[in-house]
Amino acid sequence: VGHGIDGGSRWPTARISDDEFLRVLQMAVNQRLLGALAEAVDQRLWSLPIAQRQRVAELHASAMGHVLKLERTLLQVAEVFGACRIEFRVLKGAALAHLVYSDPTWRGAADVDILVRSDHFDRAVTAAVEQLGAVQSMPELRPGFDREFGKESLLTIGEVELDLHRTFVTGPFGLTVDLPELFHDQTEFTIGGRQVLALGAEHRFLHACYDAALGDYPVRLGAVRDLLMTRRMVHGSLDGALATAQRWHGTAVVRRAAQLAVEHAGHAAAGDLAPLALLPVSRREAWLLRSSATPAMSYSRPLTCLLVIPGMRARLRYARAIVAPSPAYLRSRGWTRRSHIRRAFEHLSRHG
Amino acid sequence: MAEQLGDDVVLRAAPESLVRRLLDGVLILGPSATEPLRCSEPGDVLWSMLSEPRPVGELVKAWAALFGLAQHEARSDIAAILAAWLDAGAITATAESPTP
Repeated sequence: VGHGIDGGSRWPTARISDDEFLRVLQMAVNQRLLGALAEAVDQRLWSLPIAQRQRVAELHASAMGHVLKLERTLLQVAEVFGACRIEFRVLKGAALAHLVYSDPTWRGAADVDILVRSDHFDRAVTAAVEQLGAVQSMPELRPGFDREFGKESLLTIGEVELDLHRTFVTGPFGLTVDLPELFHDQTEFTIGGRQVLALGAEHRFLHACYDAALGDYPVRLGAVRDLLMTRRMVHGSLDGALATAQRWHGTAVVRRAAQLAVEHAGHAAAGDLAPLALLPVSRREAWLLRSSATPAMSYSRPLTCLLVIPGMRARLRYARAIVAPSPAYLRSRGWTRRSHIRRAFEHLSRHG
Repeated sequence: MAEQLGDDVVLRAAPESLVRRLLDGVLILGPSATEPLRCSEPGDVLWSMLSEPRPVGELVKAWAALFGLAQHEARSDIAAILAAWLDAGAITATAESPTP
């Protein structure tokens, strides 16, 4: 996690058995740290026998082959969205690889993640479907739900998954992010001779916090590494980012992300993130965070959203979508309305 | 194909190419290819030479000097890889000399 970062752990100097090596390699793949491992091997910080080195090289090359196809899809999306005047920012994969890592080859990706302005969201989905042949793998809960409350729309173009995000995360913390503000700032980078836009450095750091704290449960270590790397690209103190997090009611998210950085990379590598692990947060935020980071989060997050959605009518629209999704949505999951409600109760009662 | 390229033909990496450095070479997805081309070492050296426009003759001379080869050996060495890159659109060939 802390490879290449001041205070990060050192790589082992003793040789490890083939079985141990395969376990490490599997873990690196699962935790999305193959790039860090390949970089260490390339820099001879982790000296491996030829056969083990070749295994890393093969896996890394395969991962990069996938990444290049993702970048091609990103360029196609950028072309279509540009022509349709749909404003977007590239998130995670390509943006971090090109802007944050020392060489893009040290950061893999599974899919293409793009943040789209809420008021452009429906047009973006339509443009992807109609002009790029994208397929929406799962319909929205009810028509209009994604644009108003959703985190993302999952599409596939050929073998590539395209995630069109409206906000950073599902649940209450995703609903309190000031989404228009994310488009006030930008960072340009170039892929295949074309300039594309990512979030500004502070927003990129905050997104890394949200992704580490509230993305996968349990956290993938690659998300913690992204957090440490994005921190390095915010010049000076983190006061501005913290003030933004406070306005977004997301201080608990930054604290949780900092705790994960300390837990997985150690105090020294966490650097000035370490004090943030002790940030004071309101009881409400702390409770919302606990409800959002549980094995039952796919059910607990929607419930807690009701606490932060402003206006009774919007809450009712939201509650209706959660309790009574459209038949198309239920069909896509192979559920009936009764089985949907039964599953929700079972998950919530099992995980408190 | 590349063996038939005259010494004055100028080659350069296409800006639209998508590229990743590998532990043992380079991976290139040219604009007209469906799959990336993986080139093992020292193909990555040849690729980096093409980041600037270079006439074929100059490329052959540089390759020969780098690996202690006769020029005809160097030309034959790089012909296949250049042909593959041209097919994939990863590099472009123009007749003019590069602008200074």
